[in-house]
Amino acid sequence: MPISSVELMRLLKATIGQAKAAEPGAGPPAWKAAEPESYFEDVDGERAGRIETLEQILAGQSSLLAALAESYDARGANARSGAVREIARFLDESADELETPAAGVRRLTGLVYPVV
Amino acid sequence: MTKTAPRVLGISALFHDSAAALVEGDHIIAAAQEERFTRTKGDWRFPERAIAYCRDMLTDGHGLDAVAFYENPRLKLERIVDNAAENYPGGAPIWPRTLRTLHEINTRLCAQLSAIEPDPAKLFFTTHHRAHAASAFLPSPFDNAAVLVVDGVGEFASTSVWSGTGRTLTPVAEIRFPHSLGLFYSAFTQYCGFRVNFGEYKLMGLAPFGEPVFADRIRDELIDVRTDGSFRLNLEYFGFHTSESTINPLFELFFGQARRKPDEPVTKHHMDIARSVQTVINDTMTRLGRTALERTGQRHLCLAGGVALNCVANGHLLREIEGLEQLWIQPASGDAGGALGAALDVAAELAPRDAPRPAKTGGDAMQGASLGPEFGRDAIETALKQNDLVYETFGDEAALIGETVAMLADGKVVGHFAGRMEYGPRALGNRSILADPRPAEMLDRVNIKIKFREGWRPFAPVVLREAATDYFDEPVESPYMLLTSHIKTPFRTGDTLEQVRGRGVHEVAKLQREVETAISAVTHVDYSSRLQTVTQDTNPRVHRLLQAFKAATGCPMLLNTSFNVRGEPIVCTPEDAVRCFLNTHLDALVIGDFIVRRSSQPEAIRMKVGKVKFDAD
Repeated sequence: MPISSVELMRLLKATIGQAKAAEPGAGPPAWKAAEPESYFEDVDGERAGRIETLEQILAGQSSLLAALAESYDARGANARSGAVREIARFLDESADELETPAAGVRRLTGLVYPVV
Repeated sequence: MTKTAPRVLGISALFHDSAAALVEGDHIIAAAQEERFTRTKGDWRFPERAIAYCRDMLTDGHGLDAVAFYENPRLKLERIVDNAAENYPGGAPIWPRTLRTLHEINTRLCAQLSAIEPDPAKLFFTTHHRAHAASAFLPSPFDNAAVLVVDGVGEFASTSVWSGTGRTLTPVAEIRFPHSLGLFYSAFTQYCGFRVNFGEYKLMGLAPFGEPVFADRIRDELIDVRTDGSFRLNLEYFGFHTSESTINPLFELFFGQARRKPDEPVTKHHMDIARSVQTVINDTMTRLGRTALERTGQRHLCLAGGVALNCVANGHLLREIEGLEQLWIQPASGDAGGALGAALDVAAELAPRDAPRPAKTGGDAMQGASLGPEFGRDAIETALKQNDLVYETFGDEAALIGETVAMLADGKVVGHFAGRMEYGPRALGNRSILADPRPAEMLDRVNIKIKFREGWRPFAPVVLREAATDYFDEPVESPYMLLTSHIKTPFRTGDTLEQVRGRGVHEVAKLQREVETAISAVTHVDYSSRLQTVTQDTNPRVHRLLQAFKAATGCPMLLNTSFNVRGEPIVCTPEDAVRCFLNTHLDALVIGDFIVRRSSQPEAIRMKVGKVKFDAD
């Protein structure tokens, strides 16, 4: 499989990164955590354990994405909530286009990325 | 049927292998994958037809008490959007699939669920890993157990540990996306030229041919596995979080070769890659299993999630963990099983708190996984007549089994269609192709002329439970074909893999052919077998068939492979079975009370074989 010049630059950069990590005394590479001992995370009860009804899922919103945008707002993540709103609006306005995702992607990438 | 407990319909959908399941309290009434009805392998769409099948099983006038969906769409959306934002400005290639998912969840899912159950208070959403955990624990033989779920990803979790007691599941710990053992394994599946989400079992089957020469490098550079089995991926090498590919060019550079294209030959490099990643998976799953027991204080372990379909890792785990008293694995461990888990979980949630729990007496609640549709004599005969087939009718099962055994003992390959279709990816006798495992040529015959698949892939033996220990080392309790065992030394009749290689044989199918045993078609080059054991309780008809075959030949087992051809789902209906029979070189079709022999058919029907081209799987 051919590799593009951009990809080659990235590979070179990564390879240099590996070489640095391999130097004696350099410590573990960035992707490996020196601490803690375990990569297990404590369980977030809401995420892992709960059974919710449709009413709870929708939480009074007509759109799941709108509910998600509200959730981002509540956490102060305004840029992301803006992006989510754009996605929600896009989905509302272009349901037909989604049957041919390629056209949808072109529109969505232009629409969403500037605000993410 | 008298209704005694909450009746819940479970649904899994919108990723891959969608399914529906119907339960009444702890009792499983029905379960089936959508692909079997639509004939689209791994069908991801909302399972309209599987749902219709489940609802048809309600014949007493009582409706549903609830509908349970196997994921939380709000959390799943949050993860998808989080991932998109995290990888900005990259990640555009994943948007086609992401849009499809967003569209289905946001626009269609609620409407589809509401069409089944208009009352929103009766529509429940569990989480993906909770559904898997419930599918593993609630129908298991245990009252108390640790539960380990390992897969690609659901909402956020990719690996989770649970404690199960009575009807209650308590989450203990988890590892989150993008760090995923399932996606890690899929990356190697793609690198070796197999289809992600479909070809993982081929990668597992390729492993015994290789040496684990890359295992240390993989652990050093691609995945960091801690003593407790928890892990982190080096995302620099993977593509699943930003693209439609699970790997990127750096992954290929790391192994010094480009990914294999599907039509390219399998080489020693791919065999070594497969063996190396299998070694890492074995070790990681064993550590995770040990941690699950330690953190819950349990001695029994339940497994689910797509990685739990890796029967080599399961066998390794069972052999290696001291203190593990019993292991139980959900036969539908992939996403299809989420439908059952969600249904059982919500039924447990809705049950009156003092509802008695039936005593578990060693057996599980899966009914041998025979949970799908079955077809009566009339429906079968109609299918035979519509295709102008010549057939024999048997009023007596003993006579039918006698004829079937005579054909098998004579080297014939038989399609066997009886009773309810199996739930999960394995055919366990009811929708199976059966043959004598002893003749050396049987492997090639079934692989190439009947299944139209790669010649290096061995089959599984279905064996009488009471005779399994005569042939195989422990473990030999494997009702769902989810563990590997090794054939005992006296049955290893020829050269070892090393000796065959020493003779200059390197081509993968030839290696498989030349490492011989007394049952070569169902043993691998490392003498392992993907065992299925049968008792009178789990499948009476197949048990009687095996007893009769043993009486006739001395051999207590048969070759068992799924009744389908390459690229197609396992057959569901009599029509599917007839179509498969007509388009392959099967010698006979044993279907319900009927036997259809190829040799009895008119010339025009016999000449049909080979006219249909099948998609690669």
